[in-house]
Amino acid sequence: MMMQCVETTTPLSDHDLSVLERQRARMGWLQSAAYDHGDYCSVQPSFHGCDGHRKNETAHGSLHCFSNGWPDLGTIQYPVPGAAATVIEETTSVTVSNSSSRKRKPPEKSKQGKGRVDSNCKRIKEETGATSESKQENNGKEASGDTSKENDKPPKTDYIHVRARRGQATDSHSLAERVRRERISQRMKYLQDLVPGCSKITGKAGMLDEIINYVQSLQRQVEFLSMKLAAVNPMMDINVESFFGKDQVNQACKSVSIPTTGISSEMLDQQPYLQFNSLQAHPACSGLDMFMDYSSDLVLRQTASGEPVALPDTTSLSGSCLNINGSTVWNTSNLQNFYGVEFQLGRESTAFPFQSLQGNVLPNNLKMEM
Amino acid sequence: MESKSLSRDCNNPNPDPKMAFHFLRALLHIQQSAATTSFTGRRRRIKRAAYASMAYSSGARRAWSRALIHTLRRRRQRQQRARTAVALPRRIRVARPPRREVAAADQAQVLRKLVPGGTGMEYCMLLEETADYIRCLATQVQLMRNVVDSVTNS
Repeated sequence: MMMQCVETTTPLSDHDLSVLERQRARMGWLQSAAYDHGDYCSVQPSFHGCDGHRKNETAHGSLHCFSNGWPDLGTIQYPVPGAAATVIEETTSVTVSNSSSRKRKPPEKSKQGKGRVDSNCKRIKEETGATSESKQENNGKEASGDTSKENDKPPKTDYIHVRARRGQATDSHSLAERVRRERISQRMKYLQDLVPGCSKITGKAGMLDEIINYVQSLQRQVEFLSMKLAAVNPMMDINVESFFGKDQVNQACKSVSIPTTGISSEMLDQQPYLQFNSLQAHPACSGLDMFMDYSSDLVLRQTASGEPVALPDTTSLSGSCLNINGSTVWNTSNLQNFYGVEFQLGRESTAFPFQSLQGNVLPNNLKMEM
Repeated sequence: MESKSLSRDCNNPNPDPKMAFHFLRALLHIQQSAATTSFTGRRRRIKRAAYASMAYSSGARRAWSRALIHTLRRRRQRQQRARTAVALPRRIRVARPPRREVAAADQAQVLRKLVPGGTGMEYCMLLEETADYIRCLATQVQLMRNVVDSVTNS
């Protein structure tokens, strides 16, 4: 808790220091390698006021962790048991604030902060004008851990922020490699969520194996299902051909039709007009009930994922009218959504209406087209 | 940022109607014209239609969909060329020796072969594309399963 006040008072003197200057100064400090507390405090003027605090803290906490009183120091936190919670909170809040201003950030920031709570951790936060950078450094679990080394990233890009722990290399290649590894692990985590049964597997090789298996099984399923559909198709074809002869008659009397997917090609030209008439006959087609109870040639079914799918019904013989089944499950947005799609199907029977599909999803657009 | 974009893709309001629409439309076309063709030809066409609808519904943002569309287009062009150029003698294909399968093949290489356009992709990018591809493929499989169910049940 005392650290909080230290933190709030200090970071005033460093706003005008550029990153390069800071880094140079740090390197110089590392080379000087003085282990004395008094030296550091004398090096760093802005911490003089808090000197008594810090001495107290070191007496309380472990002796290995000490402050390098550097001008850009924002926070110095010791793993005093009472302050552990605040350490975590601090790290998470920092990451949240960083995510807005930064393109990429190392994902394990908060996790590392949590992991380090029990070890001697020292966190250095600096606030610059535009972006806030958080730096953590491990103070080392070894007995000789008082030479805390602070590695900063080379300021080559504005957005990638890399921290290096003690003993890690700081040249640009290894830093880039570290960033890449972090990104890969992030993707892996995402894939782990995506692939079922992958969350139990630990280890990258096993996960990749599982992912490969899953992709292969999905592709095999596509193949298998296409085979099934191919086996089904000719029957469907006959049925479609048969019922479209009577279709217009039935539409005249029942006046509700949804253009099916099972339309044969010669019907595609007629389809817009048919649908046009039908929709005009029932302009207030918001209710779903009017679409029910017609003899079914087309089963319009809501899939498990909540999307409407039009399905040509092959076996029903009552034939000539089109229908929507399962209307109780439907929400109107989905239905109208589907109408928009199907309307487009009727209108432009040749071109791929990818762009126009999105515009027609809304029911308003549908009515405008009517 | 990347995770955000991935999750946004995942929450993409409805990628499905487009996919369903394209797929069913292609199915319709196949069913119109494929009464004469053989079973295997129809099966291949349906499979191709499934992948094409996936790719088109995903759009050109993704590398895998671009690769899929590219291969499909190339195939179509090749067919058209073959249709127009009638009398050209066929090039004799020399049978290549079968590629050796490396025993301890890198799994990334396997994944590269599975994900369209994955060859020569950076590993990090490959994982991202794989995630998107898996998502779309699962949707497509679900859609096809629904179609098959409806056709066989009712």
